[in-house]
Amino acid sequence: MSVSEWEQVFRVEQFLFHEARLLDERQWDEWLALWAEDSRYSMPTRFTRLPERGESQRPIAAELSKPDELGWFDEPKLLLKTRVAKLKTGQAWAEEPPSRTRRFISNVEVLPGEAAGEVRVWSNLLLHRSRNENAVETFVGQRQDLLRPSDRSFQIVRRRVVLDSAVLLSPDLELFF
Amino acid sequence: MGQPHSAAAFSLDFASLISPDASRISRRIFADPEIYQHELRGLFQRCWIFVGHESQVPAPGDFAAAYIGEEPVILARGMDGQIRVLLNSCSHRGTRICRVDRGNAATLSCPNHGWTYGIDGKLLGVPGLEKGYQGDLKKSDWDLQQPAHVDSYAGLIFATFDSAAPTLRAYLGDAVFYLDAAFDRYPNGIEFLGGIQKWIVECNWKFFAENYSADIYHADAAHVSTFSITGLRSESQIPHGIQVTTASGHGIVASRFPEQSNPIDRLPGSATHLAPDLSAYLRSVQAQAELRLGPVRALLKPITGTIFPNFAILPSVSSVRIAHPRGPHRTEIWSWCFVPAAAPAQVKQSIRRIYASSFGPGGLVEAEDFSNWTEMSRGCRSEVAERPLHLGMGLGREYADPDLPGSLAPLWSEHNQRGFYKTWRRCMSEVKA
Repeated sequence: MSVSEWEQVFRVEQFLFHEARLLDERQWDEWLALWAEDSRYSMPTRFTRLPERGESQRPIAAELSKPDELGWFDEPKLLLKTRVAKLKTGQAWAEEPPSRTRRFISNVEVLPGEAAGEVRVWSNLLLHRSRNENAVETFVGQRQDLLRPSDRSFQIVRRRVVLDSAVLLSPDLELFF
Repeated sequence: MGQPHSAAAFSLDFASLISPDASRISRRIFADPEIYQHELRGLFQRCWIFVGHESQVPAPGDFAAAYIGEEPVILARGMDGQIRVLLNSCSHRGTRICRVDRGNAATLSCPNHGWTYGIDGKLLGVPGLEKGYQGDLKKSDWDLQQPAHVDSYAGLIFATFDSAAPTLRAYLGDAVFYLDAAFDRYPNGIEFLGGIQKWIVECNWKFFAENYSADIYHADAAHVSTFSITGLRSESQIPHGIQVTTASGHGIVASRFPEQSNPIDRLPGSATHLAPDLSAYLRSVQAQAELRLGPVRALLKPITGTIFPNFAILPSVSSVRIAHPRGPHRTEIWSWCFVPAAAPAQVKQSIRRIYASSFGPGGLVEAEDFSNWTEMSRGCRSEVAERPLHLGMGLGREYADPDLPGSLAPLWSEHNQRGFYKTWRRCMSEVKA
């Protein structure tokens, strides 16, 4: 890895850590500003399956809902804005009182993206949600991001979050992944 | 049926749990482990329970895991094309054979001792049949068990373990009149999109059943956050709203439009105006659908409903769902998005996006329901609360209508919940303890 590639990975990591802190500190407007206007946010549902005849590799992609099937999320930035507006009413009861969250981002892997300067980023997400008096939920998954250079940092153009759970052990997904 | 339960170990005075008109309900029915066990026998082993849709298993050998109450089952299309429901438990030692959510196979082998069954449930192979059993095992006596009856309506497959159960048509009864208005609208019927939302809510399953059967009352308070930023109100979402309770305890909420109403208002679904391709498609099949449904139902728009005990329909967002009971305080919800089978791909995608953004655990108009149900369940554990729960809204305002089957009531009532609990009481009382 060259010095410039190493620096690129470092900058991507710093961006993701910053983004995680904005969410954990409930700075939703600042967080929204990190998303490109043409961005898309999605999360497939997943399931277990029998291997097909002769299949030995068991690809993950075959265990996820396809883009035209029912996932958990599939939306443009406009809906992320709506979700933020909802949280800010103070009456979004699934997040009232707001949960205390901690996002851990690791295993960051950076590859060139589709357009010049864009990068594709894989990372692992551990999202710990502490809510009400003593309830705890943990979400574990992989983020697949497409980032676009912006100012001296990045903007999120596409984010796909693949959770490990086939059945959510949580009553709602009223938070950002 | 399960093990007989001694009367001494269990006795319940259902009259004391639910008042005669079902307007007062004991918190115990949501919290008591013995009542829960009785529900598994009295309701989930006797009623017709939804297990899936034909479109989940289109080809021979296709199967999908499902549950009837707490019992794991397999919805399978045999190599002969016939759809069956198999108890997912090896006849030999009870092992759950199939541990995947779906697949395609001609046979299923038990991972424990290797007994192998055809996808039609027939026991085909037993390792050591000669060496171990010395031929003293008649395979045909040990096929996978199947429910007493399996039948379908509009491709929705239901099963019951009660050999004395009425037919599915009879069980659905007057609800079919309303279900048709939701499901019998399209040239080639409906199909399920791939992908199932599955999630756990730490609540009693009956809060799910109540919510979709009738609880319009909660919407303005529970969903105030999204309603306030979008300007929605439950009343405007359900104009000319009525509640209907059928004799089997099914509850439907629908809009009943006047004859002079704008046909566009009667289109199924909500937020269709946000997707021009979707409303154009729905308009293109509307005349044919209203002709088939006839003049009364042409003016009906089903919004939500519960088929007793645990199957919910949400035509307003093109979804159906089931609540699998997992104990007095735990429910596993499975939710699907259904689409008109013959609609263009783009239209199906519009339906999917409207559902996914608004409903389900990440839905803008629904996410808070599940934590509310959790807190309802928690409140029902109280040992000191003396008063029963209040389900008296609109009591006495029920009416009959010559054109519409079932017992009707205004939208603003808890009529359907009372209908649900009257049926609950009847079913629970009929089962020997």
